[in-house]
Amino acid sequence: MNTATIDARHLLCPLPVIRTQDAVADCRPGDHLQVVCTDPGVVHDIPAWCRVHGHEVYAIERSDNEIMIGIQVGEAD
Amino acid sequence: MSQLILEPTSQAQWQTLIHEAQAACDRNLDETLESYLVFLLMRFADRPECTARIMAEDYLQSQQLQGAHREECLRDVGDHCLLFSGLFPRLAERRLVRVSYFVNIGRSSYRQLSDVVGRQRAALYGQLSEAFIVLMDILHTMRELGGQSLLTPIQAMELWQETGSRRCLQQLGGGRNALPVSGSDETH
Repeated sequence: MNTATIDARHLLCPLPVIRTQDAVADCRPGDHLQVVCTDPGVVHDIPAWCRVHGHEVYAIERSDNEIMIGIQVGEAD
Repeated sequence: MSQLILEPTSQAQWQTLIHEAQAACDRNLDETLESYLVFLLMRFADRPECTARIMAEDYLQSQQLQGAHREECLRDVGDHCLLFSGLFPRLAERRLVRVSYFVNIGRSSYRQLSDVVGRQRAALYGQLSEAFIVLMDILHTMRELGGQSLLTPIQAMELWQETGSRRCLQQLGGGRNALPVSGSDETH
C-alpha cells in the first residue's frame, strides 16, 4: 500500500476534486491519498465524489486553515 | 478586424473569423478542431444567458451522473469553460476566480470525456483537452481583432504563468522580444 499527498491548497472547488481524480487514476486499490485543501467546500465535494466512484474517506482533519482528507482508493470504476 | 466579413452563411462567417484569428496569432488548428470551434460558436452565439452558468456546480453534478447523461454534462462543461476562458475571460474577475480556473475545469471535462466515450470521439475530446490553450488563444485573438486587449496585463501575466498561453506572452511583450521576469526576491 502506498500513501501519497496532494497539495490542493488555495484551489477553489471543484479543482481539488479534479486533482484528486487525477491522482487516483495513478493509484492502485488500497492505496491511501491525503488531500490537503483550504477551500471548506471540499468537506462535501470530495466525500461525495468518493462515494460515487467507490473510494473510502477514512479521515477528515482540520487544523488552522487547512483541511486534510484521507482517502483509501477503491476498485477502479 | 480590418474589414467586414460578409459570407453567405453564419457557418462561413464564423469560419472566416476563426481563420483570421489563427493568422493573427500564428496558430493553426487542424480541420477537426476548427470545425468543432465553428459549431461551438454557432451553437452559443444566440445564447448569451450561458454566461450565468456556475461551472463548479455543473462539473460536480456530472460526477454523479452515468452514461449518456454524464457525457452530455461533461461536454457542456468543457464547452462553456472554453467559451468563458476564450471569449469572456473577464467573467473570472467577477466570479473572484482566475481564468485558469475555467481552463482547468474545461480541460479536465474533455479529458474525462475522452476516457468514457468510444474510440473515435475519444480522439476528438483528447485533442480538445490537449489543445485547450491554443483554442483559448485563438478565441482571445478573435475578440481582440477589434483592437482592444481582452485581458489586463496582470491577468495576462497570471494566465501565461499558469497555462503557458502564447497569446498572453505576446500581449505582455507588446510585440517586442521582451520576456516578463517572475520572482519578487530577485535583486537587480
